[in-house]
Amino acid sequence: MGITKKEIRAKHIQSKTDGIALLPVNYKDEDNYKYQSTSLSFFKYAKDKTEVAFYTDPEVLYEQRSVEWFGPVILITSSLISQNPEIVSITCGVISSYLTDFFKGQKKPKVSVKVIYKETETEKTTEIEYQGNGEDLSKLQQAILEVAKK
Amino acid sequence: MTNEKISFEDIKENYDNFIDSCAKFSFFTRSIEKQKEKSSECTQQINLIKSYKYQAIERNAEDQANHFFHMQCMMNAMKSTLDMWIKIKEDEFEKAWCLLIDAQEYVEVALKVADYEGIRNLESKLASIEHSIFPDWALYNSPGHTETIGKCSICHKNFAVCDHIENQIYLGKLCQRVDREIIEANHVALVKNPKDRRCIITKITDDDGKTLDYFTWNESDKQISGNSKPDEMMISSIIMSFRSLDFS
Repeated sequence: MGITKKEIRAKHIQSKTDGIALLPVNYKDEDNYKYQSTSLSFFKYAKDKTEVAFYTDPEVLYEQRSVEWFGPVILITSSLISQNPEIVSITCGVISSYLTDFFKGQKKPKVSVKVIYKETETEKTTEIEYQGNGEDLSKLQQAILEVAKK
Repeated sequence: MTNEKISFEDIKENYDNFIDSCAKFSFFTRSIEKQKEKSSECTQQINLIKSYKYQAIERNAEDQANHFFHMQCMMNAMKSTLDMWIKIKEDEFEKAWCLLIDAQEYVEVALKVADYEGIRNLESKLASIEHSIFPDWALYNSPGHTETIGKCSICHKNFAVCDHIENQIYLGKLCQRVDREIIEANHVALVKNPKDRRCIITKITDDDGKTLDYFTWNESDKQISGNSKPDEMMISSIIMSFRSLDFS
């Protein structure tokens, strides 16, 4: 439970969209990508609310049959935040409302979401992982903004 | 042949009465014959409700179709509960456990359409049955694997290209990804909270290496094969269940 941040090497990851990008779970690899099984529904839900695109066309999904909700890996770049300072808040809000709609009638699950923050100029890349309940996503928002300020 | 019309209110009243009549037989002490009769009646009633639902779908009456879907789920929950009691009496405990989980999942989906005291009472009753009738499972199996995208249960297109969202109800049907094919198994984890609680441990070995059925604690006819070391326990368990429930 909580937030972990670590610097990673993923130079090949480049944003190809004006919004957030959904990355494969094995984004550190350069091919044979597989996406979280939750990614497609999340994408369909999110695309009406914010600019979002897949990093590549998903063909293979990674399914983890746990009650925990393993959300998609989300790429946010510093240039995206410069263009749209509200993007972090919007993204966390979309995840939160998706969870409310998706789990209507069910027990609220634990949530596991990874955000990859990439500094566009320096290419410094940080993986921010949130594990907790769906109501505390403000902590994820805060953690992304902290990394973005540095 | 008559061509009488029945109102939604009349259907709802018949449904309420039928659910009450099912609840009357949803106890261990009721006779297995009566429970089998009621379960068979459930099948007929579910088919009837689904026929009304399909009429609502043809009229594109989303609200009514969803309410018929709610009734369909509740009747399926009642049927699964009756079938669970029947299987318990027939000493088929693994099947009984799966039927209990079926009932709980039908209630979860029914709650997406309507939430009221009666459904919450059924939810509590099923939880009580789970804790008082069956042994506790501290751990369940939770596999991880890669799979194909599959098709959408609503429009039958590739799930990547349609706009339907999993777990949402569209015109009286639950959206699911179907026709998925497993590409590669990745791992099996033992977890406290699995997605599918049908993935249980069914047999364990004791200190003497005897295989015990986890439901009955009797020595099992089928021994778990392998060489266990001292202080180690071997388990036999369900890794994945392919059960599909009636959500269409």
